[in-house]
Amino acid sequence: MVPTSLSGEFCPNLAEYASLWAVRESYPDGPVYLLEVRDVQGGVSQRFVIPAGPARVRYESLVARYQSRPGTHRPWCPPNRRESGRRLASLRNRIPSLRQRLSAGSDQVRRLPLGRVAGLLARAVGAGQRLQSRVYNPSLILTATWTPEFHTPAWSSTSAGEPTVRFLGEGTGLELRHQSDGSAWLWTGACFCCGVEKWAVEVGTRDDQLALSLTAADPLQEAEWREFLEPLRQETE
Amino acid sequence: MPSFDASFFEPSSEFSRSASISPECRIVEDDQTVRVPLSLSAVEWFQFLQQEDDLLHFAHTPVAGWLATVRSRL
Repeated sequence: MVPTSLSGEFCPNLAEYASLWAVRESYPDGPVYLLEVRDVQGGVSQRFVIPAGPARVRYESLVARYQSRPGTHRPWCPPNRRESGRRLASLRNRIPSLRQRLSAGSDQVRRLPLGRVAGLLARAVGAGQRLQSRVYNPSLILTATWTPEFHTPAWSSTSAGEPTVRFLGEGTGLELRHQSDGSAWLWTGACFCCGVEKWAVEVGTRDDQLALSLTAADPLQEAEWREFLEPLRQETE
Repeated sequence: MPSFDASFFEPSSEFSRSASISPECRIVEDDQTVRVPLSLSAVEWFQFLQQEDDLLHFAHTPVAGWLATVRSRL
């Protein structure tokens, strides 16, 4: 059984989980307590902020019970390495395949300036546009269906000082890093399960790993989503 | 950032009073951060998450992150 959230689903890839840490960070207005998951590449893939109150008490109990010396972590579980390999390959292949289709002259793929993604979400705030966002990292896929309601500049300890903006709404949100190297794409294709033409905005990292996709909130809203994307499509013609 | 003692929990905490974090399990990274490696199975980890309603969850990628409140719903 995997935990879920108010707005979406966790889809963990336990083969990519490497270590779990309890973290205390000290700030002028007091300490912040966290749980941090690191992936097999050593990167931070997930953080959980623990609020004061009953959750903190359970957290302290968890940390006291499962503390270990560095390097002595026991295995999480027998990971499904075949499925993990399939998932990682799909994250690696998407952006190169879009690039290849664009160079082959496909009119179904457009390259976008990275900043257009934040612009698109800002427009979604104004228009009340519901959408589905999916964040991908090697150890986790998170899907949320939500309406961005406002945005705010933000800073986070894992953003390496980069300016970021957070779009928030319906108890969830998305953080975008403005100056990251990466690529953004607008593309369309027939859905493999129903054959219906669907539109997506997708973002890749500097290493061409798929990191984010924005799609229609559900299949019934595909026409509305396409209309919402139309100005972006016209800009890139 | 202010420096602080290398204990992990707040002084008022039951666990701080009983000094239940072994020094060899506590890594003082800098004057802001202390870490404790945890060793638990995926089942124990998900059991912990499922009983919490109000953890703020951040998922990270190099270009974007996702944040949401964990909800204990199966």
